[in-house]
Parts: sequence; C-alpha cells; structure tokens
Amino acid sequence: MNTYRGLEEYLRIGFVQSVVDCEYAWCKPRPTINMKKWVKIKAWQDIKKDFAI
Amino acid sequence: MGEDKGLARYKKGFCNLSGDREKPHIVVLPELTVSNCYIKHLKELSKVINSVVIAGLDFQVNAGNKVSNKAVVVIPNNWTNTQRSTRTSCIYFGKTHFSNEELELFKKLNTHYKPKDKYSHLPDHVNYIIDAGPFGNIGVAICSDFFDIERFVIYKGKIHHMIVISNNMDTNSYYFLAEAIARLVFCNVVICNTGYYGDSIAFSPYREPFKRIIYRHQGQQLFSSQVVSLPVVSLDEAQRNPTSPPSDNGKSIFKSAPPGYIRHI
Repeated sequence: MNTYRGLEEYLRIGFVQSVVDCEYAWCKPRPTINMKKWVKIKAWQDIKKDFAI
Repeated sequence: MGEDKGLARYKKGFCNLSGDREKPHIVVLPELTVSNCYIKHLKELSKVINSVVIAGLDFQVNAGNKVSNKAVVVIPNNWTNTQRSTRTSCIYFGKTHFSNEELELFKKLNTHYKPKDKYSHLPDHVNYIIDAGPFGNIGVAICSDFFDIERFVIYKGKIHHMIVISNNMDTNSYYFLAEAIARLVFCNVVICNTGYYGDSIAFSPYREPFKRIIYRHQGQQLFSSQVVSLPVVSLDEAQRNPTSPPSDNGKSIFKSAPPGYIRHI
C-alpha cells in the first residue's frame, strides 16, 4: 500500500469477451444490415421502450 | 429465446470470473453487448461477484428518433470490502463520435422506413474520469471515441487506466493505438472488443517489451473470460516522479513519461 493515496498494488480487470449477437444489437455484422431482422428488433425495442433509460 | 441465450453468455462469463481465487475488481463487457432490459440482471451479477461492471448497452432511441450509444458502470455498495453487496448504483456514459458504419445505418433506416423524425445520432459530449479510490483514476471511451485525440489531451496526467469498450473490426489499428496512448497518456490501456471480431487487449507502458502486453486475445467469433492485473502503485509513482521513476535492479520499471508530462491528480 502506498501511504500517499493508499493505492493498491494491482487493479484486477475481468474480461468477458462475449460474442455480440445481432438478435439485440442493431449493427452486427457491420455494415451489412438484414432489414428483416431489423424489423423484428425494432418491434422488440418498441415493446421494451418503457424500460429504456 | 435469443434474450435468454445472451443472458446465459454473460452469466457464464461471470461464473468463470467468480470461480477464480482472485476475483476481478472491475469486469468489462464490450460495446452493444447488453440489452437495456437486462441492466437489472447486470446489477444482480455485479452484487454477486462484488465487482464494478462496465458494459456497453444496446442502442437507445430517444425523443425525435435520436439514437444514443451508451455504457453503464454498475457499482456494488460493498465494492472492495469483503462483505457481500446488497445494492448497486449506476452511472452512464455515452459515445461522442459515432462511427461511419453507425451513421450509414441511420441513413439506410431513414431511406427504408421514411420515419417522420429521421434517425440521427445523439452524441454525449461529456468526458468522464472515474475515481476508483485505491485503484487510481480511470478514463473511459466507447469504440470510435478511442480515436478522439482531444479526449487524451484532457486525460493526460489525470488517469492511471484507460478502459475502452468496442465493437470493432479494425483490430490491428486498435492495438497500435493502445500502445501509442499508453505511451502518450502514460497509463494502462484496456480494450474489451466483442468476441465477434476478437482482440481484447490490456497494455501497460512497461520498459521491458515482453511485459507490455499483459493480455491479448486474438481470433474471431470466440467467447472468452480472463482476469488480468494492471499495475497501480508503481505506475502512480512513475507518474508522480517522471525524473526518478521506480526501478527494479537499477532499471526503470516503466518507459519514460512523455515530454512535458505533468500530473494533475
């Protein structure tokens, strides 16, 4: 421990490198867009709009 | 079904991390990973593992079809304590500069749907520095904001770690930029890219070349979870005393601070 700021020796970072799936992210795979899929996602977004931040 | 599958993936990653003897202090997930309705699940996972979680959220459509790209930072109330956390608090930060692919996407949507209010991007012009107490200060960016040089002018001398979450296919450019930023801002750089494209990186400005890449996971369409340790106290000392940095066996541990480097913390 450092007395100056009480810093720790190390910061442990955990990576969760998930494979983003376009089922709920609009933009993958970029730049090709499957409009059918987009319609499905848009509908889902509308339903969930109330939950959005 | 899709949602359940996605949630199962994060849970699997969190299970892997919580099984480690040394749990992570901060868990990072890539850009656009978590659906907005799953933030509550993310909070639960954060409480269970007792770690801060930084995760990219799905696009959010605001009034007038203004679309924002945000990330959430979930902080459990007993973070760094041994006690179990019972509640969490959240802060959000957004993307300032949208990528050309995103802008192209909005154009295509406007052409296809001809909405009354055209889809357009809603930039977040705020640069955040997260004070992580004993772990130093953390700068954050989402994907293409990593190329925003003004951000690093602001961050230079003020942060110990730079965390970038991305959904980026140009993995090599990000690697080279990680090295450049680690030297120019004189901090650790963490890039968590989507497993679809791969190449998540943790980079530290060590003097010895073999030490600099703390973690790099290359290869596309791969799920992975890993805990890595970034130096804090030694880097802080090097930042505070650029002319007499900490040494090991007479050799400086870190590369020299960039010319004109002044600590502002």
